[in-house]
Amino acid sequence: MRVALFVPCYIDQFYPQVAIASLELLEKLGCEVTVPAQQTCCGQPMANSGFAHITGGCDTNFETNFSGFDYIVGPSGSCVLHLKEHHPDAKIRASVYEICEFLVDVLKVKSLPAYFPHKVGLHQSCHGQRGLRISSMTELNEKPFSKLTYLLDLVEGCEWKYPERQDECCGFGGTFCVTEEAVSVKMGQDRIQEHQANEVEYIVGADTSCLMHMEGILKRSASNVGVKHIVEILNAHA
Amino acid sequence: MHMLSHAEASEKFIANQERTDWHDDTLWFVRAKRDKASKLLPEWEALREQASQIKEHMLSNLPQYLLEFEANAQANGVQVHWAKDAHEHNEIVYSIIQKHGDKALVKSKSMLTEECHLNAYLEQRGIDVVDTDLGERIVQFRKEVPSHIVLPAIHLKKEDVGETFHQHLGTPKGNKDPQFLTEAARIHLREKFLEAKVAITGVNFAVAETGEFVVCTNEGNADMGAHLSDVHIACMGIEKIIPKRQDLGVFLRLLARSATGQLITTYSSHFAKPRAGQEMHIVLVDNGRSRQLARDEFRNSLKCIRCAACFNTCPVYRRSGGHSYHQPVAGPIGSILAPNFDKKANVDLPFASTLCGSCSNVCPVKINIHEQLWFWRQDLMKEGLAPAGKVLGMKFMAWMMANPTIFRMAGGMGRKVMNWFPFLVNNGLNPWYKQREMPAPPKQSFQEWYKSNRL
Amino acid sequence: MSSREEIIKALQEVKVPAKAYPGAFTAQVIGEDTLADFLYSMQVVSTTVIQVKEAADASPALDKHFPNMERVHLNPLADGLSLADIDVLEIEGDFGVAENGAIWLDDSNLPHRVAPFICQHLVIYLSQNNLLPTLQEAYIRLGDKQTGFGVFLSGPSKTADIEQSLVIGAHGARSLVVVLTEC
Ligand code: SF4
Repeated sequence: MRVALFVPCYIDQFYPQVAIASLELLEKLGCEVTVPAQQTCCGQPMANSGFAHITGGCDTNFETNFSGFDYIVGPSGSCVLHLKEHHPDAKIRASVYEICEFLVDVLKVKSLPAYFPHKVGLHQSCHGQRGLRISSMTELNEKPFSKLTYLLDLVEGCEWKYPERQDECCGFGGTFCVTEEAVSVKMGQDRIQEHQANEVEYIVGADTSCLMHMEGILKRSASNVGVKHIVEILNAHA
Repeated sequence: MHMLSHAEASEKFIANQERTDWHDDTLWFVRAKRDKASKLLPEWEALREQASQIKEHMLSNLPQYLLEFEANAQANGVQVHWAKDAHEHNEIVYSIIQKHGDKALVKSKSMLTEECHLNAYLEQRGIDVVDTDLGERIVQFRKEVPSHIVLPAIHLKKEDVGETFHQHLGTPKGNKDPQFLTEAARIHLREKFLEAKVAITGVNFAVAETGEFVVCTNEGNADMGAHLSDVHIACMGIEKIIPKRQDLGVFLRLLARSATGQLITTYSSHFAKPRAGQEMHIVLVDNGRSRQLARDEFRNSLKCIRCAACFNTCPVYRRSGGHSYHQPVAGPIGSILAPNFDKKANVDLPFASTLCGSCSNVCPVKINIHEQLWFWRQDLMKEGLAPAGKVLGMKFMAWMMANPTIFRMAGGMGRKVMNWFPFLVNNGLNPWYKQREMPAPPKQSFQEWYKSNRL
Repeated sequence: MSSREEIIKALQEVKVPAKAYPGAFTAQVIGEDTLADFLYSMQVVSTTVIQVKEAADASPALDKHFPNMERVHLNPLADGLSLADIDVLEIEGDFGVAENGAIWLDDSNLPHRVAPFICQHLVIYLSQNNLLPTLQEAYIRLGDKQTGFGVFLSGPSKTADIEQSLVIGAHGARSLVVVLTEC
């Protein structure tokens, strides 16, 4: 199985540990992983700002880097959703996966050699959840399920909690986080408060952008709660 | 006067944190009630699908259904009027009032008349318009506009209402008991109902097959007005048409459950024929709806039944208040309707969202609201309505992302300043830092790590 | 060209892809027991139910419920305005809906359209044989019945416009009693 690891631009630059954990995890599970060296960005930051009409070069670069693999896997629900919905190439759209859905749906992971003896609060990032249906949504009348909690349950020692509002947005929202700074920060503070009420050590999610936003708020208030991408936990060992 | 953008108005709203938290919690509670009500119906999702399909069918046959409705309403003895725009709508209503020589009227909730600014139009011509929905009466006294289409005064606390009623109805200063204040309004408005010769109501659904229209309230104010008046004028947007009476069974099961979590509104009143001696008028209003119908991406916004579920679930709306949307219809649906009226004035609204998608999930007629927000962003930016700095920044981003070598270089140089980063471009004073820290820059990017460890 | 013609023309010029009418929707029965569901809904909408064998049996309970208040059974054609003084109005309901407590009233039940709204308190007599599970059965039952005015009424009037605190008795009746008869 030839898997290309898609490392979103901001993860590459600011959160290399998320990409490293993704790579190691996939290899551990038997995938032959390639990291295309000339990859940059999925185009989402521009498109969600209303500039989808100028992302042609970015789309082409993505296609050049990612053609010819069985699967394209990335640790970011929102970037993957953008590609699935808007990338011009149908093969790309069909073969791109968010890493947790890839683990559950394609690799059909039943166990993991992971150990993470901490209490974590689960943040369901909207694009992964509502867009990719990584988990059920509280608005819908449907049977509850979650690929994230399924995976966390495979990790020894890990105790996870939902915040009181199980799937409310954290307020990152791409450029929203600066153009609508006041609302964005308030949304983030409210999420964090519910996690803190649960006395968690880390806020965990499958989208680094949401985590970066919440981490920024946590650090400003000198909180001792940290953030972790879920792959860092799935790849953690004793 | 400079109209505040959504972001500016929100910042002001949030400055009062206690009030913001109250607003957020209160509306979240309404959403929770909606969740509970919807989960008690096993066929909920099927009902939404049915409602959506009925509305889509209606939109694909709108002129036929309008003509069918008109013919049946006329056969019922109702006078039907057509208005191209808000101004014509207001003229029609005014001319009916004038014919009867009246100077006062009672009006129940109608978002259409808000959209047309009917009150201001009539008041300029010496007509005393009395809004009879309690929440609307409160905001009318305060010379404000509703901040929510179902809960018009949700931005106010009982202290505010107590003070307003003290000033306008002479209730004792400091009394803020909702029961007491509601009773005061009941007495005040009963007088108005008994006097008024003309009543205006909105329309929730108009049935083509029968020519009847349905008005839903909890307070009973639409009925008090309509049944006591000599002239009943019902104002409706042309998209309120549904094909058959049996469709009401679908829509009325969804409406109140979605809006407030109630099983149904207290009154679902079906008006077909005027009472003996009464005149009944219906004003059918286009006001941009035919234009919206022609926009493939936005046509489905016309399915809306104005339940406000999308408001209550919206994390942005709950923390910014209805007035920050500077439009009669606020919230997510308002943000996809508004650019149809005026792109330039409303360019901020499709951006007043994180695109989290919760709105589309609660919508009882399955409007893809968050996708339409995205489409409006594309439309507005393509039309050149972005600030110059933003265009430049985006073009720079796009260029860099298309050129891997430049991207790697910029990253290496700029990780400390990070001012090239997608949502941080072109900001001298970067809003990110106001209340947040940036991640500590790592020594190596992932690609650099990969090169030194794996290649 | 009149506005009517202009609007119709503008709409006809838009080529909207045809979408078929989905056909009638079949409701799933919510509970097994329509009567129990109805009683539950009545409770939810703050309505008192008096269960009796026949209508006349309700008097003692109603006397107790409305002490020292005159109860009026109205003739058709009463003047709307004079109804404002009525304390307790009694009318017959046509049928009720279990899922939401709505009771259908129309011109054939109402002395005057404003009656159930303007009276201070309302009593509706309803046979428990006339209960339907959902609103969808209710519309099937209604069929194409022609009526000038009809209303699904569920509970007393209410509002929550001040801080979302529920207040019973807005503009319409302050309370609702349903007399549910066995026959
Ligand atoms: S868009 Fe949907 S959820 Fe929002 S008010 Fe309209 S019908 Fe309700």
